[in-house]
Amino acid sequence: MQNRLNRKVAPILRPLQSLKITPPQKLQLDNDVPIYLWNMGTQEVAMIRLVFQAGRWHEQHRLSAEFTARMLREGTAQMTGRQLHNRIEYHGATLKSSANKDYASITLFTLTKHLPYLLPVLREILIEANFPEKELQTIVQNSKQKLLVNLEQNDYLAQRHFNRAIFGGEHPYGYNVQVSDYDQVNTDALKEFFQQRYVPNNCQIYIAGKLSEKEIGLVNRYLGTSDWQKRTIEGKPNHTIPTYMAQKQYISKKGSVQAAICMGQPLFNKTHPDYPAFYVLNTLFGGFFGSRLMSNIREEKGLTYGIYSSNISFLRAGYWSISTEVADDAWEETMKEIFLEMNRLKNTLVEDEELSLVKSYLMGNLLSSVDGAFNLASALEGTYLYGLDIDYLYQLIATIEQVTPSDLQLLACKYFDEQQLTQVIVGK
Amino acid sequence: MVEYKRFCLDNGLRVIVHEDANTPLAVVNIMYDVGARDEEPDKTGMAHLFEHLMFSGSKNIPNFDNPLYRAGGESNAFTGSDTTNYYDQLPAHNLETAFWLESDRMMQLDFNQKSLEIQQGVVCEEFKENYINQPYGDVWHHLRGLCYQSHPYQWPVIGKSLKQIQDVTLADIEHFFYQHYRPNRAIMTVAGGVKADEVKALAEKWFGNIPSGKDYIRKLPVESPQTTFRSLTVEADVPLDALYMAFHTCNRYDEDYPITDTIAEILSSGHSSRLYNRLIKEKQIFSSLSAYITEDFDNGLFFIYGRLNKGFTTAMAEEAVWEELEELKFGSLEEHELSKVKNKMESAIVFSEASNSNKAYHLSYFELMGNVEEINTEIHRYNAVEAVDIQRVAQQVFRKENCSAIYYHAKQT
Repeated sequence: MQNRLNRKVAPILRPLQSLKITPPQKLQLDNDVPIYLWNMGTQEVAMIRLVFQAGRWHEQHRLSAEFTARMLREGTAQMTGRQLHNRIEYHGATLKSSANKDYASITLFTLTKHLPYLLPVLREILIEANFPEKELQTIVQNSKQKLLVNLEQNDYLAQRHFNRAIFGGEHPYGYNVQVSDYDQVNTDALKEFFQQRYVPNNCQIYIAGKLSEKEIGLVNRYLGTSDWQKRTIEGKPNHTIPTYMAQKQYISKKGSVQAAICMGQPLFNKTHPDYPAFYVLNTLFGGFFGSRLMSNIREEKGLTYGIYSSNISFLRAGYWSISTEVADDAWEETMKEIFLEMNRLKNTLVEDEELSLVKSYLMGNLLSSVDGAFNLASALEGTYLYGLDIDYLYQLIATIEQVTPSDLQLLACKYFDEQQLTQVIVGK
Repeated sequence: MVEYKRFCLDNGLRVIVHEDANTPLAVVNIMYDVGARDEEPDKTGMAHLFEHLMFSGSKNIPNFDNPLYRAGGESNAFTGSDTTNYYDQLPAHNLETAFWLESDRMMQLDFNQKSLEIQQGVVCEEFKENYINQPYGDVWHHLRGLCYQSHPYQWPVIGKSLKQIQDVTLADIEHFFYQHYRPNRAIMTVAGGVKADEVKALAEKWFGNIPSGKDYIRKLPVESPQTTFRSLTVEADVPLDALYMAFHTCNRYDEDYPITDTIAEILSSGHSSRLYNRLIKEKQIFSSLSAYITEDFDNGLFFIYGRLNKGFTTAMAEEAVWEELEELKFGSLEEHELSKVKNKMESAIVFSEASNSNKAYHLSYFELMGNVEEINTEIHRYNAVEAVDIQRVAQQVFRKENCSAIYYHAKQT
């Protein structure tokens, strides 16, 4: 038998059966905060994640969003920062809080059995976070130092210049933190931002793991409490993105042995009808390890450790970008090849064989991105925050299955335009 | 508690299966018993470069990744000082594709000059990206070189230099393959929506006729105990001074390993840890500070390193670290500091068991260490750690003559 094994012939593949995405149970706390719950799995673990519309978009002062979120763990009226960390870490749990462009979040990972000890901490944070001055100075100082180190990195620099070119230096999606901005951060501004934004009527909660009725009841007891008061959210921030003009910048950084390239253009976010098909196009072009850019620049020419393109969504805008770090004398050749790959997709239909490979890869990837409670919560959060729902994911699947080579060519012609690309290079 | 079945093929390939009916996915993890410590001093970086070549085609299959993508899967690998680990994740109903691919590259790689040259280019760019064009990027080269005078842990996995990576020949690659990439040097774990019987049949079908290799007797130079303090000052274009300290410590098999690991946790895990509170928050000497023990199969290192705030010198920072170490050696340990580490270990294990790729990796890892059942019992070794153990090991490890330090100074401009 074994002698006749023909290793040149691949085992027969079976296509994915219809992919089922488990929807959450939708509950509501007594204070009307919506809960999305995936109660499943075999491990006695839990994730509780509170999401607020409290990102950069809502700031009145630079860095308010980031430091409000980070300071939530640094002390309450009852507990010093150290006591709070101790309480969390003593139970082997982790508590993270951070803000991005549109949202802020507080995420607790713990063994389910410790929820009775840790939910009160969450409650206390929401009601009594007190932003101690000394702790703020420490994290501001450390962030400043970290920025100084990041500014020495070519890829970081390239990304900064790129963001500014796309969204403008004043827009919340485009501003780049300067060292001097840290000196302006003060507890009054953070407290104000906290009181305005971290309220039940501005919050949604994602819960994933294995919980009993008792623990779900505890969530309501501690987070559904009427002590945590609703508040009218004042002001609807509005920010205008300046008219886009493609820019070319070469930034010299002495001593570089590699050049960082970041290029791209403004593009839609995931609510746009072209997004799903463009997702397939981008994957094929530069979105995964088997992409055309990776095959060309890395696997055929050996010029880089990696090159990727992606379509990034924010709530109110998006962009498409390509980034890589290459041998210092090879950035011009790399740019030429990137343009060539863009044009190839505009001028020549993708072979069915290549497209079917990308489709299979994407379907497998989707399958794993909705495998298990934690992944499901993350995948669905990514739709709800955009006002979409589970149907969006099924729509994405349908598009992946149905999109044709000529659809992709049309999209490439519509959106790939060398003249529209901002190009930032940081090198020697 | 992780359940598993274990069997061994006639050619020495060990196979472990973990069935999990809750997922439609499967993970295939193959760990080879070879790492950077098995390299010659003038051919460092070989093990890692070789790992790249494992994706450049095998005798019967010109491209490794594409067939896996077609099956809905993906793959990656990483190289360490002791092991090289490859893993594929794919829908369980296409499991056989991973067996076909993995067995063909274990049977015989496609030794090809062009692939070698391309991957030499790729690895050199990886080297530059992480170790040259990166603030403090060269520090691990300096520090390992300072700590070890004879053992191969003196070079990082990426290799000593670009030159040594560029000088590797196809003959070197072929030799490395037949020496190390044989079924008797590998452990395959399959986890997820699979059945042990099915895995056994597939393993025999695809891996059964791969010839065994010769036994490899590892004879690595033994590092003599360090007897005097060593230090090196580096000046570079970095914004902040930094301090790196390394102490010789036990290996992963040692009874003291869980104790030493616990020490690292007490010192620097989380914002309730000693170093964070005393040296970052109270004294504000450092803006970042970490401690950890290398998980090495031969005697490893305990690292403590961080970046300094302005106004402090590396000498002041070093002294402050020593104060904390003295405290650990002779001061008292609060009960909750120990319980915290134990609770964290428990939590880490339960969370890790929620992921089949983690389970597959750890099953292979403990099997390679000699006893796969340790995946379920190692926690007891952590739970047994007591305050007196912490003091004893701290006194043994944190001695000046056992320490090497790098003073990384920002160039004055």
